[in-house]
Amino acid sequence: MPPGDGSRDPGITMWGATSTGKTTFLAALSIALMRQKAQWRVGGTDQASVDRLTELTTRLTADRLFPSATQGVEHYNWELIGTVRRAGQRRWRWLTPTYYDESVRIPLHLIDAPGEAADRSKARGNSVLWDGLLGNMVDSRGIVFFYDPVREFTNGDAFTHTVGVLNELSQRMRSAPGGRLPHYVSVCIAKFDEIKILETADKLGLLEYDLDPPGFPRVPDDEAREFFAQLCTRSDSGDAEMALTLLEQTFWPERIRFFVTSAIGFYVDPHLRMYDRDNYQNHLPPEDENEPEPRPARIRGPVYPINVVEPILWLGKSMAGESGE
Amino acid sequence: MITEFTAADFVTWEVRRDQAGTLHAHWWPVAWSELHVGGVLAEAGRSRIVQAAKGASRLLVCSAPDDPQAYEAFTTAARASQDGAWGQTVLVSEVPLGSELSRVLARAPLTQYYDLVALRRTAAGRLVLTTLPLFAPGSSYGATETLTIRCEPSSDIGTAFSVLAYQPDERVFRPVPGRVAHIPPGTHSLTAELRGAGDVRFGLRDLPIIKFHRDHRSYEELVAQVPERLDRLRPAHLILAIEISGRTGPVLERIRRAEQLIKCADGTDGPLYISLISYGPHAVDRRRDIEEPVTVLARAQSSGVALSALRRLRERGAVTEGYSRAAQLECVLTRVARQLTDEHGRPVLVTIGTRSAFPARVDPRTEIIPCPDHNDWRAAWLRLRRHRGMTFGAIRDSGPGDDMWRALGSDASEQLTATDVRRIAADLGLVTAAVEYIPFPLVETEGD
Repeated sequence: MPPGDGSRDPGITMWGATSTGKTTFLAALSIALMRQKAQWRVGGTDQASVDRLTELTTRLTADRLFPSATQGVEHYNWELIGTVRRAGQRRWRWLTPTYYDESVRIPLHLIDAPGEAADRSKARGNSVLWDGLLGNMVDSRGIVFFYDPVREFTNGDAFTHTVGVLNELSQRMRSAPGGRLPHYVSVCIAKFDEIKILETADKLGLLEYDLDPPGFPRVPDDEAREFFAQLCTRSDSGDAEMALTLLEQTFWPERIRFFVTSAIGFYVDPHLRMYDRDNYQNHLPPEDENEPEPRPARIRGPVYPINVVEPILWLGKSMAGESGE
Repeated sequence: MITEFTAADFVTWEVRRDQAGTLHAHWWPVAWSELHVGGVLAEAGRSRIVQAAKGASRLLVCSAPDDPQAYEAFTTAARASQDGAWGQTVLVSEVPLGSELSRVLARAPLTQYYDLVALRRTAAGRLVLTTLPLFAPGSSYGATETLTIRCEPSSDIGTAFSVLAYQPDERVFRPVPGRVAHIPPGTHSLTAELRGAGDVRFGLRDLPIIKFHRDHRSYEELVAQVPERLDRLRPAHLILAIEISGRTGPVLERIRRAEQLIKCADGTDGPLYISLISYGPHAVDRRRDIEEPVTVLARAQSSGVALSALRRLRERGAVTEGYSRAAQLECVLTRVARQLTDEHGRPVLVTIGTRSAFPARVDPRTEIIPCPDHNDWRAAWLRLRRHRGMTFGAIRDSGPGDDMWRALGSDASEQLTATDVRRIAADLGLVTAAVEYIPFPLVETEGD
């Protein structure tokens, strides 16, 4: 099915620069739901999507490896299956409404495009990528925007990526009411497990710790935008602050939510089963090529995704609510 | 004096002791042809024989009784002796006096003390001449004495074994002919055998193959070569920590350097105790991966035991599994700091490897995962440094390395592929920097 033809349920587009962790995020989604022992689960609606879901999950858990970089635009027809509490019809006006749980399936038409697709200068030679991403965003009602502070520390290209895509998207959807794009946007401040990111959050005093084991640190969702803004000031280019402004000027602010996320989470010693402030690094960089058998970047221990379900669930629920489900 | 009548001549012998108490024989032969005229003993000849026999001679010997000339001259002298009551002993012998005399002289008991010249090192390192008693007056041929001595490197010249003779009451030393031999540095059991006055032969019980030769240098010449001091090293406890992670080639090279260092340090001074520790990487996930632990291969052992342990380590080979960016040095240092005592002498820690240690906690700079036991290399190093005489040496695969490697190589540092083993051993005080010629053996005891 060609992108942008609007002939199916609106999907959710994963959008972010190269190696911001989009595919890893998707791979962690199923694990996150299982870790939370939530009533929600993720499934595939066609065989290819089921296979891909299994492959991504296995690679992250059993192999402890990150998914390979996305080459083309990939469509995942997944769905979130769970229950929502609905208010029942009142018999009498003065009676409080009754509630009931209703099984729902929130379609997740996830579109995972390589990071290069969001960079017009790089994607210029490959219009399929650029058009694929933009077409999917036009069709989508939800966007998961990935911001990688580690990459921003060194490359400082978040604004460059953002401005090109949003200008193009605005141009393609210039008839949108109110002059703003109608999408719901989950802004994921990714790689919270990285040492530099966690230490920055700690220095800013934005950390809270889960009361339940293993007692992970978190940046509360209501502090996530502030964290994003603070991280933007530490950008290598100094332009990242404009990316935040641009997002809030392009989309309806009430349709944007910020999440501080980590697909792999923090390392937990299997024997202690508790978060250790001195020993939490779960991401192992690629090994030196001089080693006898150099290994790629990998995951040190079990995966404990942080804030991976929430952005998707929020998008799913918001989109479902809007459509009257 | 002895007068001998032989088939060829008439010989006057003079036997004297020199100042060292050694007997020496000199002789003056006079051919019969000088004393005979026309085949008959001339009057002048007869007179000369009688005069010689009458002089200071104490013994008249005819060693050729069958020779008419000799026997005639002998009887002439003997008759004159009896006439004049000179009191000489008169002998008729079948054996020439020369060979008999040398045997007799050799078996003559000593009349002086014989001591071996040696050096004593004071606690301050000065070298002073001393002697070791060998033989007392009255000792005779075949007497032996065994001494324990220590030899220093003696270059191509060899160690001199000089003997001094002296009278007990005058304490004036007189050299007797000495000997020289190339002896390996170290402590040896020396055997001295008296072969006669002025003739002492030496041998080594532990190295009988060593040959001793006549030393033609004078005693004064040898004494002039004695250096003022000898900086001997205190007993050392060499602790070798060898990283066995990474490629096989460098790992085997590290083991080879350890072997070279042990051999270098062991040959020149002592006593030396050696501890060996091998270490590799921590497992990334101890539940899923097998971890090669820090292993003590030898604890304060001799060089032989340590070299055997290194051979086994070489057969075991390199560890290629585990985390690749660091090795368990923090655990090695913590363990050494916890267990090290001063019992075995001054500690010398030599680390041979390349990787960094695991940090005690997450490290934002290196992003190396922390040690699972939270050991801190710096804390352990500071604790080790407090040991009296503690010395640190490092042999790294390449480059100076990080802060930890600089700390571990604070006293001596070398690169693996271009290691000057002698230099690092000298820098760490395991061997003396320059080998001086020490002409005499040293006595084992030290004192001021």
